[in-house]
Formats: sequence, structure tokens, C-alpha cells
Amino acid sequence: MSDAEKDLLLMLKITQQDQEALSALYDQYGTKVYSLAAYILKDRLSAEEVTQDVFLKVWQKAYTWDPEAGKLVSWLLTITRRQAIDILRREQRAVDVLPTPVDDMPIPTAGRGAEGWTDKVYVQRLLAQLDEKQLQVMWLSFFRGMSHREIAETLNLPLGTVKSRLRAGVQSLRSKMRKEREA
Amino acid sequence: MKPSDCEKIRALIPDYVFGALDEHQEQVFRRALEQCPGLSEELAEHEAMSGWMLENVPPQQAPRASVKAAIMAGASPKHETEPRTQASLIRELKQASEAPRRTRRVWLPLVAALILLFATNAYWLVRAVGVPGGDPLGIVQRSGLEAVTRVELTAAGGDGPAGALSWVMTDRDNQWVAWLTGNDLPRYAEESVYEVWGILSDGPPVKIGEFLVDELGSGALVFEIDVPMRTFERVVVTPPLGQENPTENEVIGSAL
Repeated sequence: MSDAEKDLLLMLKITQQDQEALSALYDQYGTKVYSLAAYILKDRLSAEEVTQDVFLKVWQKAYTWDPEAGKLVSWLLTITRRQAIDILRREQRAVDVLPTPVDDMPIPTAGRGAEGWTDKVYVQRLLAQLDEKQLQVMWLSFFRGMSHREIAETLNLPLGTVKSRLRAGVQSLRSKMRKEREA
Repeated sequence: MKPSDCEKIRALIPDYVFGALDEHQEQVFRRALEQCPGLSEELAEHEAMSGWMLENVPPQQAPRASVKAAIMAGASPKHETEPRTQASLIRELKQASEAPRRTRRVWLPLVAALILLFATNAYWLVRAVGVPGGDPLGIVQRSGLEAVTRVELTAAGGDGPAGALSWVMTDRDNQWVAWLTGNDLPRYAEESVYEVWGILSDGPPVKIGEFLVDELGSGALVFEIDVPMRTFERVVVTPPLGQENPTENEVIGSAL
């Protein structure tokens, strides 16, 4: 059975309120959910709270997942990101915990050995090639949930510059990913 | 939508993926997905990229064990089980037929169904993986699986409640996924439950599963099965009266 099929059946079972299926789903994706929440929030208790909320939401609303729209893990992490950013906004600590983006992004410090050719290494290699200014704007938008205007205020940049850096950064990353894949 | 409009929309993909559009812009973008050629594919690439970013944040660390314990403690089934007598259930059904939309709080009679379930030694045949509650059918439909066979389920008189049973073969040997829907089923309680039975020609009936119906009398059940559906002579949907021969209580059904 493929991973996608396993995910589909797990989710079907969860819609039937099968607690064992929820437990299996947590075992499969709990670490990813928690890691993302902890990365955004920099706080263990808040990250645990988000992790609980995410899996309880799955328990109650499993039927809202659309398998055609993407992988289950992407859906879970999108919910996680939103929940974590909501907490940042609610507690108004987005600016307080703002780290230096380039140091904090998933960029590798290790070499480019052929070993460990995983998605993580792949993405890290791609991100390492991005322009630092583009990366900073992307980071604030993606991991801090800041609007263009908020980013402009935080970085003291014109709004148009923020928009163009974000789009250029994303386009650049996308085209690099495509080239890597084709190569 | 004009090609020039599509180009403008295309430029918004990064903002859409990063959640930077306002509500109105998001609506316009979603409409454009159906009208602008190639936009969906481009969006999928961006989403794959953002998915990777989300999946690979360092460091990957496991939460404390107490997190899972709290989740499992908070995940309780939507309905509880309490025994109900056959007489009271019949009374409720009668009341429901007189006032089909009236809602009252009545607990579900699953204990009798469970006893029957274990009494049928053919449980290995099927595993229910759908409902109650929610819309598991939507997941199957959106998963891209296509039904290879579909039969209509009808009431004995032809009018009133109806339904359908569809199934597909998976890419595993002797493994099918099937889904059953029911519409306009009489509601006999606030959380009305129905059972799905497979009738064999040479063995006891097999309880396939059960599902709840909503306020309109609609519900669905998705299940896996290890033998061809046509192993069953007939599939019937009944209220949970706990009788040995469920066909006596058939609300809808069909020969296979």
C-alpha cells in the first residue's frame, strides 16, 4: 500500500472516530507538527498546545481534508502554521522573537555530500542559493505570518520593495527547484 | 477571463501560497484557478515548495509523551452507546414517521448491534472505515477513485428513502473499497443510526457497519472488503433493531 493510500485509509477511519487511527496518525506526523510549531513559536508549551489543537481538529474535522488538493502532511502542516501564527499574533510577540532570518532558516551549514539525499537536504541546498534579502522577506511572510505592510514597517522598506522581493524570492526558489529536479 | 487578467492573477501565486492575500483577493484567485490555463499546475508547484519548507524546519524533535496522552484523552467518539429496547425503538420510528423533522435527544442502541456483530463469524469479511458523522464520502470522491460498479438502493414500495452502493477495486489483491449513501431515511432520534447488512445465500447475515443520518435523513458509510461485493446476495439498510434476519426491517436495499 502506498503512503497516500495509507493516509487515505487512516483519515477515513478517523472520520469514523477510530481512536487507533488517530494514534497512528500522531505517531506518523506528530514530530513534524510539533517541530514546525516549535520552530515558529520558540516555546515548548505553546508548541505542545498547537500540536494538541491540530490533532484534535483532525479528529473533529477529518472530512475537510481534500486528498486531491495535496498530501496529508502538507495539510497538517498548513494548519499547524496557521495555528502557530495565530498564537504569535494573539500574544503580539511576532516582533519580539524575531530572530535573524538567515541564521534561523533551514539552511545547511554542512557540505553537499551525496549522502543523505533527502527532501531536507534538497530544500536546504535550494534555500542556500537564495538572495539574503529575498529570504528575509520570505521568512517573515511564511514563518511569521506578516502582511506585506507589516514587513515593510518592520524592515523599514517601501511596500513595493517588499512585494517584489517576496515574488522574486519565491520565483527564484521555484525555478531552482525545477532545475534540480530536471537535472 | 482575459489572458492579461490571468497574467495578473499568476503574479499573485506566491502571495496566495504564503497566505498574504485578503479575503476578496483569495476569492478572485480561486475563481481564476478554473479559468486560467496552467494556473493550477503552477500553483501546485508553489505549494509543493511551501510544503517542503514547512516539512523541513530544523530541528526535528518529538514532543513529550504527555502531548499524545492529552490528544487521545480529548478524542472521544461523537456518540455514546446505550442499550435501547426494541419496543422503544419501534415507537420512535413511528413517531418519526408522523413528525419526520422533530428532533429529540435519544442515545444510540449499539450494544445489541455489537452483540450481533460478534455473533456473526464472518466479520473478517468487511471493515467499516466510514462515518458516523462528517463526510467521509467526500474524501473518497475527491481521492480520484472511480467506482467500477454502482447499484441503486430502494425502498420496498419504490417511493421514499433511497440510496446507492458503489465499489472500486484497489491495487491490492482481493481488496475493495466501497461506499454506501442513503437519502431521506426516516429520522427516529436526534442522532439516528442505521446499519448496513450483507445477506449471504449460504451463511448468516454480515453486519458491514453503521452510519448516522443528518437532519435531512442523509448519511454515508465507507468500508473495505476482502471479497467481491457480489459475494453478498443482497445489501440492506436497517434501523438497529437487533433481529437475526435484518431483511425484515429493511428500509432500503438491493440485490447484487
